[in-house]
This record gives sequence, structure tokens and C-alpha cells, in this order.
Amino acid sequence: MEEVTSRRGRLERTAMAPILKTTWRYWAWVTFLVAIIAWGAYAYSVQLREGLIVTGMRDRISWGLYIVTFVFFIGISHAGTLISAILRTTQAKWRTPVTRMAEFITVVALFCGAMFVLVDLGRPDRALNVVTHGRWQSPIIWDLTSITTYLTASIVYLGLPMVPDLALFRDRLAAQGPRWRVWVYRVGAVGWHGDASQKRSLGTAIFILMIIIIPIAVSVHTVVSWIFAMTLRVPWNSTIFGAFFVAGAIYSGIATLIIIMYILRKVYHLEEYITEKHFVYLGVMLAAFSAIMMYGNISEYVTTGYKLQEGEEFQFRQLFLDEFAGFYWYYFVGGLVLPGLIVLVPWTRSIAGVVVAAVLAAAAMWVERYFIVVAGLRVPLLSYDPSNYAPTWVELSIVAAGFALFALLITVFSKIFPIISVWEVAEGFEPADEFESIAAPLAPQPVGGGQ
Amino acid sequence: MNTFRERRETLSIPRLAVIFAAIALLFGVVGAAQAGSAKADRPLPQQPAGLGLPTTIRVVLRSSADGKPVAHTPVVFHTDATFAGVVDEIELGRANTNADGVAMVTFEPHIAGDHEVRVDFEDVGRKVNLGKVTVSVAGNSQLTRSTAGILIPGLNVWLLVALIAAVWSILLCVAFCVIAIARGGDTSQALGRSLGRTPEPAVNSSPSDAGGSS
Repeated sequence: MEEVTSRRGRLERTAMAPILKTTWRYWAWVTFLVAIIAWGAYAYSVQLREGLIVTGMRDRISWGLYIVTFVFFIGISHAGTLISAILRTTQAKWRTPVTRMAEFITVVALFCGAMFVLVDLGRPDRALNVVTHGRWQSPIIWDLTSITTYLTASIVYLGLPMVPDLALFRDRLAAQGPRWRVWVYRVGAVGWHGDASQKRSLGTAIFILMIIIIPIAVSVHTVVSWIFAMTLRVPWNSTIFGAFFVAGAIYSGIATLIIIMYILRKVYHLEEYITEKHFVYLGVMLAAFSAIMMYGNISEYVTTGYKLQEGEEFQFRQLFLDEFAGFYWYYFVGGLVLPGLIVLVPWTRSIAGVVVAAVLAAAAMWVERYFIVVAGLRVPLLSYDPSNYAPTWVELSIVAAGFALFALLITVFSKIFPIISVWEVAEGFEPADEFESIAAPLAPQPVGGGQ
Repeated sequence: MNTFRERRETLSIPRLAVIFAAIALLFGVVGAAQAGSAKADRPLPQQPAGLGLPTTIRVVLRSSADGKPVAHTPVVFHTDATFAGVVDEIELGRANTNADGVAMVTFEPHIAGDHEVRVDFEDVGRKVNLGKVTVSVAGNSQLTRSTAGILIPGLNVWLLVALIAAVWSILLCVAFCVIAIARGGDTSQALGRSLGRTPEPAVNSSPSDAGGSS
């Protein structure tokens, strides 16, 4: 019992350490990110003033880096909530130290992704026309609906399991730090005192959300894929686009989670809680999804390549031999085969190995979105010479700013909120059967709580 | 391909190719009561048009005060159109009146029957309805299919709306749980309160040490 109390005390101190101690490195990092964002804001002001002519997008290739990055961010948003929800639903005991990070990646990635849709608009002042003039028959409206639903559910899913931890911070840090932070904890804790009825309500809410959020998350990337698949373009004529995009989203989501987990573990000294086991388990999931992605690629290209309908030959040539060959083969070999091998071969199955695999996979998934969007639009619809697309400094700056914003939000979050779920990790210290936690909504058993 | 064949057939039958572009125009002068407003004069003669052939719709705008033509005024022509099962108003076109107060657009009817074209003009930033023109095309054919896809009973937009409503209702249940936590009570109590039932006494246990989170 004493050991449990001691471990719990150490856990609380570790969770609160990022909030109580700020080094110059933190401010240097934040300044660096803000500088990139400021440069991106300037580039966007140029785009607003001059119009989309300052980008590389033209009438024939009308989507570029912005939509690529939008799809990428929506993809990595699956890191979180979907992975966290699946692990919760399957009662994976090892999940507890990583779920909070995963859930936060979701919210931040969705926010950043949605921002790129607005950036892609030549007239952002007309963005609300999608709502005021939208039709239910349009995949754009499906996309808007599913993304807003997912964002709402993800914010709640991030906030709910944090309630007991925010109550802990509210009580422990009341006398320290600025008032606004205490106010955030007080509001976020929604009056949590850890009594039995509150635990029942919290258990019920988490139980409902972890179930409902899985189909919502699947719907999001399915609908994003339909934006392409329902457009009359030869390379996008695919019936497996939905499943393919969802698998790709989970794949890139796991990769991003591993990378961020590695950085936060290193920066905030979470080695006791995030161990090699977590990296290897997530690495195995990564390898499994790399196999699914390879299967999807082969299934897609063998069938379309065998028939080789009009337009397909052009697409195959540019993808496998010409303009996009470098991108494609990096994606397939460097981004799918290699990460799988790194994780599966025992000699490379370490924290460093899994992180390298994750970096390769995440980069490859951005590249995949690039050639899906740009190569897809490059296939001529009529007998004209194919167009080319080259991103301009404006696009590159704005995309860099988007990634900097993503990093900044995670950095700031980790300075305000508990980055590991204290009460869930602490539950693991107890000898109790974890099934009690999951089954709590079905039986009058206390769930969660900070006790 | 079918479209072209159908069009040739239509043109080969004089009776069907003739235009009944009729036009009773616009003399309900909506904006006449307003100072500086204008009214539409009777239309200029229409050009013959048939299915798939352009017909010109003209209106003459005259001042309601002195009857003189009103020049350089934007006139907008609307009609109803059906696309993929959705019926809505579309803008046929807009034109500025010339020195004689004449504004015209070209309309190419693709479906036989009566086409009602509504005409508005802009009067000091305000849209004023001038009336309508009916363009009639005889026959019982069309050049394009206006309905896309097949209709499967029960599979429609309302199914999607019901699905979204169901998801948001479930999220609402989660909101009730959060309210229950905030009130320190049970979910059923929060639901009961929201439904206007008599609140039951709270069954909270006493707050645990250090906020229950320690």
C-alpha cells in the first residue's frame, strides 16, 4: 500500500513538473514556432491580397499543397481518438500513459486540417456559403458535417477523461501559478470531487463516447476520400478509396503518435511511464497497418492496371516511371515496406527503430497524399498537354506555418494540461481487475476517479 | 449521342421545331410606387425558338414617373431548374439596359413545356420584381435528362439527416453526463431535471480528500 502511495505521488509530481518548471529551451522553441507562424501569416496576407495566383495552383491542377496537408492532418487526427478509443474498448491495459497524447493530437490535427480548407479558398469571406447554400447531396457537406461532429466529439473525448486530473491540478496548484490557469482547471474539473455518483456519470460518458467515436472517426476519412472518389477523375475512380484512406489515416496517426510520444517522453522525462513496451506495441500496430496499406496498393493498381482504361496508362507512367516515380517508390518502399521490416526484425525493434519507422511512415503518408491529389489532377481530361504544378514560396510558407502551429499547440497544451492520464495510470498500480473500469457503466462500480 | 439524334428529330418536325415562345411580359410594376423606380414596357418581339434553340427574352424598362426609357440598369432573369432531383431557382443571366431601356438575355429551353422566366431589376441596390415571361415550347420531349441516378425507396437525404441526428443525440447524452458531474449527481438526475421532473435529493458522498483526486 505504501508503495502504491509512493508511486502515485511520484506520478503526480511527474505530471505536474512541466507546468511548474519552464526552461529557456521552452521559450526558445516557442519563439521559433511563433516566428514560422508569423512568416506564414505574412504569406497568407500576400495570398489574400493578390489572390490564388500567387500559388502554383491553376485551373487544371486546382488543388495543391493545401489540400494535401488538409488530408494529411485529418489523417493523423485518427491517431488519437480512434486509437485511444480502440485501445479503451479492447481494454488494452498498456494504453493508459499514451491515450491523453493521442487524444490531444486528434483535436489539434483536426483544427489545423480544417484551417487548410479555409486557406485553400480564394475568397475565405465566402466560406459560410457552404453552410448557407449547401446541399445534402454534396460530399462537401458530408465532409463538413462529419468533421465538425468528429471535432466536437474529440474535444469532449479529450476533456472527459481529463476531469479527475484537472481536479487534481485544481487542488494541488491552487496556490501556484497564474489565476487564469487555476480558473481553467476549476472550469475543466466541472466540480469534480470524486464521489461515487460523479464516477458513475464519468464512466457512462466515457463509455458512450469511446463507442460512438469509432464510427464517427471512420466516417470522417471515408468522406474525405469521397471528395476525390466522387469526382470524375480517372485516378480517383476507386471503390476502395474509403477503406484505403481510413487505413492510411490510422497508419499515419500511429506514426505521429509514436513521434510525439518520443519527444514528450524525452523532454518531460516520462521514461518510467512510457516504456519500450509502448513503442513496440504501437510499432506492431504500425507494421500491421503498413501491411494493410501495401495490400490496398497492390489490389488497387493490379486491377486498374490490368484493364488499363483510357487515362490509366498516363497515370501509371507518371506514377511509376516519370514525374512522380520518386515520390511513389519512396512511399511504397521507404514508407510502407521499410517501417514494417524495421518493426518486425528483432534487431531493429527498439525505441529508436520504432521512431525511425514512424518518421518514415509519417513522411510517406504526406507524400502519398501529394501524389494522390496532384498526380490525379494532372491526368489530362482532353487532348491537351499535361499541366505541371510547383508550389510557390507562399504555399510552402503557409504549410510550414501549419506544421509549426500543430507543434506549438501541442507544446502549449503540455505546459497547461496533464500530458499523461494520472488517474488511469494510477489505476494500474492497484491490483484491481481493469474490467471493472470498462464495465462500470453497466454495473454500479466506481470508475476512474482520482482516488 | 442520343442528345444529338433527338435534337435532329425535333428539328425535322416543323410543328415541334416552331417556337411558341410566348410572352406576356411584365407589366406589374412593383417598383412603380417608389420614387425613381421603373416599370417594364411590353416586350419586344421574340425570336422564334424551339427545343434546344436559343430564344431571346427582352424587356424594356421605362421610368414610372415620365415613361422614358431607363438606361444602364442591371436586369436579372431567373427561372426554375431541376438538377439531380433538386428544384431551385437559377439565374438565366443578367444584362444592363441600353439607351432605349432594353435588356435581353438568351434562353435555350431543353425541356418542352412552359418555362416561367422572372425578371428583376436593381433599383438603388434594391431588387424589384418586374413580373414574368412564359416561354412555351410545344411537344413532349427533352434534350437532357434532369433526374440523375435511380431512386431507391427509403434511401434519401432524410436517412442521412436521421443518422446525423442520432449521432448528435448520443453526444447530447454525454453532455447530460457532464452536467451530472458538474452537479455532483447522477446522470439520471440530470436527465430528469432536463425533462422537468422533480429533482431528487443529491446522493453525493462527501468530497474525498484533496478534491478526490489524490
